[in-house]
Amino acid sequence: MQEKDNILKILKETTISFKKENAINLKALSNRTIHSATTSQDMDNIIVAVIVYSLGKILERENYKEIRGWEFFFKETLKNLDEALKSLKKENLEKFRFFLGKIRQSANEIDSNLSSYIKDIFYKASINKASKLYQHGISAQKAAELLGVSLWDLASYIGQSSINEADIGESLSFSKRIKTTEEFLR
Amino acid sequence: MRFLVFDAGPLISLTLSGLLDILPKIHSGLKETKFVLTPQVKFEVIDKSKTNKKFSLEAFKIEKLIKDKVFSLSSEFVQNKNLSEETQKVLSFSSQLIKSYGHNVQLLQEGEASCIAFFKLAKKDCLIVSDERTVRLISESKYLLAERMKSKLHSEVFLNEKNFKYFEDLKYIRSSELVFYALKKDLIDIEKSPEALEALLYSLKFHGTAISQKEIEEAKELYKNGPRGS
Repeated sequence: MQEKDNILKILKETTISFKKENAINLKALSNRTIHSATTSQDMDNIIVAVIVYSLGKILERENYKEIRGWEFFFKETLKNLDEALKSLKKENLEKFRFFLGKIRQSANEIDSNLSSYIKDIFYKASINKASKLYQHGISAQKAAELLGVSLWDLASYIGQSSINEADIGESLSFSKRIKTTEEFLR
Repeated sequence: MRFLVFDAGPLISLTLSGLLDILPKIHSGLKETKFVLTPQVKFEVIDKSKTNKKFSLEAFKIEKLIKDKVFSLSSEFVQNKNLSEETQKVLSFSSQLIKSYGHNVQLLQEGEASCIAFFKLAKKDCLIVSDERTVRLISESKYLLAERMKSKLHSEVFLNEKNFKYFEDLKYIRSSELVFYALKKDLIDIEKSPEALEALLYSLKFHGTAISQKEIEEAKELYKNGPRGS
C-alpha cells in the first residue's frame, strides 16, 4: 500500500462525516483521494475513493432513512469502517481490505430496493472515479481496467460529461488529420 | 500493403453511434489496405464484452466484421509472440514517461500499447485509429500532456524526454476522421450536409471520441469550403 497516512486520515474523516450524514463533506473527501490514486494507481487508494464517493451519493437520496434496510446498512458501514481503520493502524492489510470489501457486500444482505440502489451507486461511483483518472491524463482503457468497469460504459460516461471538452488544445488540427486520412485511404 | 490498426475506442464509438457499417464500405474501396485488430483489442471489445449482457450484441456486431474479412487479425502479419514482447516494451516505456509525487504514472493499458507495438513491428505504411487523447498526446505533444497533468494534479510533473522519442513517429487518426471521409464519399445513408456531419460527429463525441466543439466547427467549415487555400 502507498500513502498509508493519507488513507488513515481520509477514513477517519469519512467515519465522522458518515455518522453525521454529511454528504457534501464525503464527496469533498473523495476528491482528495484522486490525486494519489492517479499517480500511485494503488488499488487501496482507488477502493477508498470509490467507497467514500458512494457513501456520499447514497446519503444524497431523499428519504433514504425511511427505506427498509437502511439502519442495517448504516450500522454495518460504521462497524466496517471502524474495523478497516483499526486493521490499517496495525498494518494488517489483508483485514483492512476485507472490511472495506464488506461495506460493499453488506448491500447484498439487504432484502429491499435499497440493495440494488446501493449496488448501482457503487458501480456508477467506479465509473465516475475512472473518468476522474481519465481527466487526470490516464487513458480511458487503463482507467477502466483499474476500476473494473466496462470500457463501453466509461466511453459513454466520458462522452456525456464535459471531460472531452478539454481545457487544453488538440495536438493536431482536424484538417491535418483529415489530410492524413485522405492521403492514406487514397 | 498498408495497415489501419484499430484501438478499442473507435470501435466502441462507431458501434454505439450506429456507424459500424461504414467500415466494410470504406474497406471495400481499398485494395492494399488492411484493417487490423490486435489480440488485446479483440479481447477488450469482443471476448470480454460478450460476457457483459449490456454490450454483448455490440461485441457480436464487431466480431462479424472479422468473419466478413473486413478486419484481419494482427497475427496474419506479425507473430503474436513478437507483438506481445513489443507491447510489454511499449508499456514499460510509457510507464516511465511522466513522474509526479515521486511516482512514475502508468498512462496506457495493453490494448492501446498493442496498437503502438503493431505500428512499430509492421514497418510499413501504418496509421493507428485511436479516440484516446492521452495516447495521441504522448506522440504529438508531450508538453500539452504534461500541462494537462500538472493542472489536474496540482503538482510538478517531470518528463522523461528520452522515452518520449520512442513514440515520436506514430501517426493517428480518430473515428471522427473516418466518418468525415465516409460522408464525403457518400458511404453513409444520410443527407450530405455540414449539419448532418455535425450530428454524426456529436454522436461520436457523446460515445467517447475525444473531439471538441471547436474541432466539430472546424470540420463543418472544412466540409463546406474544402481545405483552406484550395
